[in-house]
Amino acid sequence: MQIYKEGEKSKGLCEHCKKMVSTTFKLRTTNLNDENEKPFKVPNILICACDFCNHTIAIPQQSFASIAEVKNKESKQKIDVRLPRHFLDILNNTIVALGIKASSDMRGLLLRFYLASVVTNTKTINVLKKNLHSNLLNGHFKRSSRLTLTINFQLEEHFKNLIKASGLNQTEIIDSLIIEINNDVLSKQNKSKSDEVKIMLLANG
Amino acid sequence: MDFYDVKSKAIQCLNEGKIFAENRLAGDKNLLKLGLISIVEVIQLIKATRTNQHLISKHHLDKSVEVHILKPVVLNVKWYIKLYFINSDCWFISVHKAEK
Repeated sequence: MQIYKEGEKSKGLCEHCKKMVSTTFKLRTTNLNDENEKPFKVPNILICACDFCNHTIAIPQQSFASIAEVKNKESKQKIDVRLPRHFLDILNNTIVALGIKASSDMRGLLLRFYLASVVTNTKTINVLKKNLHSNLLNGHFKRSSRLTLTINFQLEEHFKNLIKASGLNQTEIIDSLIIEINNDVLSKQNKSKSDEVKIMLLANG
Repeated sequence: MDFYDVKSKAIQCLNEGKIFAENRLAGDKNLLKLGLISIVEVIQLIKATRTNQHLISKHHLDKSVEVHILKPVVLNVKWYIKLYFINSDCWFISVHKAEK
């Protein structure tokens, strides 16, 4: 990948000077518009500035990652689901069973990890559907507990695609993930996944 | 520059990181700059562009610069990509889904 350094020279078309100009790579806090034309500010990225009017002509590829980082922070989405109390208890007890203190952050982390695992593997759709026949969903119960999951826009995109591909709704997918967590960890059916989850929680919690 | 040269040069620039995103005064629609589409995805869009989905115009600031407009359709979604070349670099003006 081509990497430019601060102070290096280049050339480009300046909209302000209305001609081809020489340019210099500079560090600058830059105002940009998102895809909905909502303005946002990216601090100290390398840009290409016009040598005559100092206008920011362009942004090199190496700065795109920093723009995305700022953008992603702003574009985290919240998923709200109502769960039966025993599903929330499964999440809490899973975390405790792995030797970690339960908290809303840990619950979110655990669910995000499972969500990310399934959205990146379409073969798991059948497993998700099968989980919905679990005894844990049999009988009458109230969905009296609320769970808010904060996810980044990339995971949200995958989540939307999973909803489309599986024909399941948001609540069914979250239910199914919690049943999967129960099977893997609390029912001790998947030792390697349990170990993986424990490391992930320890590292990110 | 013919259509196949445009495609191969744009893909080469994307692979080598020789990419700039124009910063227009009136705002622009460039999902690549915002990190909302990856380099790999843009390469796929360019590869999917057919000859009849390519137009050429002149840059409004410098008539000697050819601007290439690519309008590929991928998975039933119409895309709009506008780019030009300065030396060995590819400058992207727009990368977004076509407006309905």
